[in-house]
Amino acid sequence: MSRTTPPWRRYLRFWGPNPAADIDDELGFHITERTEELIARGLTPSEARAAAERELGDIVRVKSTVRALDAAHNHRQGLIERLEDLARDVRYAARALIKARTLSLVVIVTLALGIGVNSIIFSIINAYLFRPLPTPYAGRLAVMGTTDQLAIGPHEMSYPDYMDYRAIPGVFDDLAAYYNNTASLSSDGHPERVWVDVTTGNLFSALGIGAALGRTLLPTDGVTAKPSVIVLSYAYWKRRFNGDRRIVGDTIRVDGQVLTVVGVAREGFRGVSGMIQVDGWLPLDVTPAAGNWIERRDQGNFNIIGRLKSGVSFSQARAAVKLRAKQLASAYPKTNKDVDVVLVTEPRSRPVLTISGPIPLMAIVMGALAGLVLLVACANVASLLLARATSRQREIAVRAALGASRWRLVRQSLAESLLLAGAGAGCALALARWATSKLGDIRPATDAPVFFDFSLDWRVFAFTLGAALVTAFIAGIFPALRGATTAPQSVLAGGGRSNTDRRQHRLRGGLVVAQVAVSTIVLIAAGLFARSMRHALEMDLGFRTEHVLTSAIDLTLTPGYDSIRGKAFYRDVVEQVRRLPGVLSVTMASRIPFGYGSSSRRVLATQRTASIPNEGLRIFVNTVGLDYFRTLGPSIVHGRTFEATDDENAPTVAVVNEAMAKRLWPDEEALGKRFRLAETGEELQVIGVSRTAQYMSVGEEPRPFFYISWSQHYRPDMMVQLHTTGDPLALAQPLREIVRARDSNVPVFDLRTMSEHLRGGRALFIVRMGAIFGAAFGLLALTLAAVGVYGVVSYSVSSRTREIGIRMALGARMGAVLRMVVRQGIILCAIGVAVGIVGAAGITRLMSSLLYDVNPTDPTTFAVVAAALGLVAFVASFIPARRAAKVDPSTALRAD
Amino acid sequence: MSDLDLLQGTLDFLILRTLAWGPMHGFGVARWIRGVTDGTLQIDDGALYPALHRMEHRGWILADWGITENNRRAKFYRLSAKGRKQLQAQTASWQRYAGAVTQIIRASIGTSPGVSPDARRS
Repeated sequence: MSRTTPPWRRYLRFWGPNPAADIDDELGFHITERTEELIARGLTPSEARAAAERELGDIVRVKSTVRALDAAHNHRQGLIERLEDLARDVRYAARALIKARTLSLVVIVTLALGIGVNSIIFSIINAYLFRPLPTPYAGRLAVMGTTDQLAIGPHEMSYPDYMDYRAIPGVFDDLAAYYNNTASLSSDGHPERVWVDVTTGNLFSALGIGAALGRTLLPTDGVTAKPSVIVLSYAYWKRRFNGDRRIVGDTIRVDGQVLTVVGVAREGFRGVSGMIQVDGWLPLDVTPAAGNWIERRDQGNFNIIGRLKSGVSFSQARAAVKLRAKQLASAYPKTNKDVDVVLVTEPRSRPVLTISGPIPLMAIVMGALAGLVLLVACANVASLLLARATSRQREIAVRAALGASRWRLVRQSLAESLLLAGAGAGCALALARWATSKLGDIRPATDAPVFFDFSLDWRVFAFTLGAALVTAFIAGIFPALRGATTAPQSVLAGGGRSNTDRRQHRLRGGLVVAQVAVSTIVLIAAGLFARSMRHALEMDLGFRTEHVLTSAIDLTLTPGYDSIRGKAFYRDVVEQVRRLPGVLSVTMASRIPFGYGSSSRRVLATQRTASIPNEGLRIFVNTVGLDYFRTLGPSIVHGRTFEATDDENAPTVAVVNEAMAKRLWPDEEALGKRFRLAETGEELQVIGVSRTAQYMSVGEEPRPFFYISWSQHYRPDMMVQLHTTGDPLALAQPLREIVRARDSNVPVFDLRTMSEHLRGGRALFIVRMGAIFGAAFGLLALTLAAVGVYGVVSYSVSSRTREIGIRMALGARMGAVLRMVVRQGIILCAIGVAVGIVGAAGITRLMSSLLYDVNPTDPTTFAVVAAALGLVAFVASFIPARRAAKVDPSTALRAD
Repeated sequence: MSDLDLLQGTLDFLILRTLAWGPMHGFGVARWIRGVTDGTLQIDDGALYPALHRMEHRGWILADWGITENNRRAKFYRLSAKGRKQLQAQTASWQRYAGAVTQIIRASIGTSPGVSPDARRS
């Protein structure tokens, strides 16, 4: 049947069938025919046409109905066809991959490693920055802290400030304040040290967290009456009470107080501060009898978390609290001058607000490095698939000649890489699962119950899927295009070795260059992290890090210790430990350098000479025993240390560090000067000046710091620290035994060496993460680059067998052949390294804030990496070169 | 009975029945239905085309563009094998339905309401 479309309509069908035009034509025909019929019955033409149109009803509606019907149908048809095509592609691809088993396996392993490191890194980043707290309000939770000129990071807030922020109208649904504390929890007479949050009663309602059993804390807890209740965490309830439901209503003793267990918090809620596992929640006593801290603006003790009102953005909330901070500064200049406030989303405050600063940058750098490793893996896979595409040229040419469209061939090839990437992603997830559970088992040697939950959730799966898709595309597109753009005639006519062959060789060479370049960047980043770690470890922190054993004792856990009995206890223990063989000296301190806990005091002037502002200065402090400076350092530069005579009856004294001396008495001798503690009003006289050490983070700016004497400021919780001649851990057992002999009810915690503490603690957290993952990435990138170079060189050797045979037949020596082949690998590598170095010089600058004492363009690192890659390239090309040099000319010449 | 409401199924059946004579364009189908039913079944011509397209999508009828005896381009519809089967099935069910209705009409003459003919016989 022929077509006679009106010429003006043709354009409608220019791009293929046009259903809309067809409907117009169909209805037009109907009207024309009916009109003629009616004219034949005697109507005038215009009457007839009107009647015909009337009979059709609402033509516009008919047309649109039909058009919609057709469109829906075409859509369905299209989908079905595409699905059928896809199924066919996948079937075909699977068959092809099973045939090339070894290659598929190599590709899958490569991808599993490449995607796997990305999944692992992402699951860590996920735990830090993305995974919400188990509450419906997760997106609206804000964490607040205050900043002043003294502290490096944001720190805790005072209760009156908290109440003032809480009172800002229209910003928060609720705002809670809490602090972490250790407590002695005893049930059936067995005391145990637990980690609790002492919190305003509205914490649970603010967060929207319910109870698994009984009730959670209520906003009224601690407000209306002296609190006597506790809520346990789910994990602690399971562990300590075996999940016994009868616990609700029972009483337990916490720090000697009798408390009623009113409930167990919902499963999965481990506490607010990101990565510290909390065992229970106690209501904060804010009854009028609680004490004057309720009114003390100079005591910042509280972590603040709250829920923004729905519709209030974080930037609006931030503006509101900053405004309030200004108002507080002018209303209370004595305490709040220069005090500002920070407000961040809850995930952004992990692991704890004070040290959360560099986490996002770290996440970006680690994510980028993992991504680069994946790129290297992609290059390898692309190269392998290219080689395969070449060996299948004939097959593809035949299919193209038989009419398979170019798109069809590309799709076919992409389906193969998709399948490979899918299998790779599956293995990667298994790898990530294993690795993250291992990482989660790490219990860092810190002074807080830090836990890592890097378990995989849907975000990790979604990420892995995305990575696999991108990988399939990157690794598959070159071989796919290559295969599809090959002219079938040339392949079918010639024997195979042709122009396209040379072109494809250049492409593979290009891939190797890219791969080496990316590996160079990854290796340089890894090298910088490693050097930074070494520097940090070797850095003079200002105190003794080797041959030191540290341990913690807390007499609040054992009933019956007042300050008199406590002092006697510690004196006895220290005296006996001092006499142990292998102990050079022993001391005590309330704080350990680089620990999670810190203490500070507001220092006021007593003499006009001191340059202290009227409102005072907040300065970090450590309460120490005798021999502290001899045992741990830092060394005393002027004056003396605490002595036995500096007891409760003597004038109160302090040792200040040089930074504090310089800050308070810039042009004068600090010795003999006095200052006052705002909290207690005590006056302290400076008896010694110590070197300025590092206290909170490695590489910190000189920080004012002072020490007070434990004999004059008794504390029941102290860390006993030993300087030993040999392995510090050898003294752990003797120390335990001495304490047990003195009082078997007093437990010893946190027994570890100082270097263990430094490695596990927050001091080197960032550097260590960098060094560990950097090393893993670097190794992986190096291996993949080696495989890449090896692959290309050996492929080129095998495709040049005949040429090499001719050269040898014409008298080329083995050495010359070796040199020729090795040179090829070295040249590719050299170009790659050069490109990589230029790239790295630009990229590593971003890392500078994560590095300690290492220049981001550190020439040594760059040189070592270049040399290492050169060596790897040499070995990787030498192996195929030797094979080439052993070619037997007669066999080679007979080869295809 | 001039404004008899046509159920969707009735229209489909009529179209299948019409096309059983041979390929026909939409206008032809409309004309045939009008002729055969003597205008009893008032079909809005506009309702015909969505029905035709729907049946085409279901695979009951096939369509091709062709030329009429007046040398005009028109879309011709014809029954597919599936459509033929559909026609048989629908014919059978219409016959059952018509039979039942006829019986009801016959039975209702001289019968007290509420008692079915079957019930009276037994």
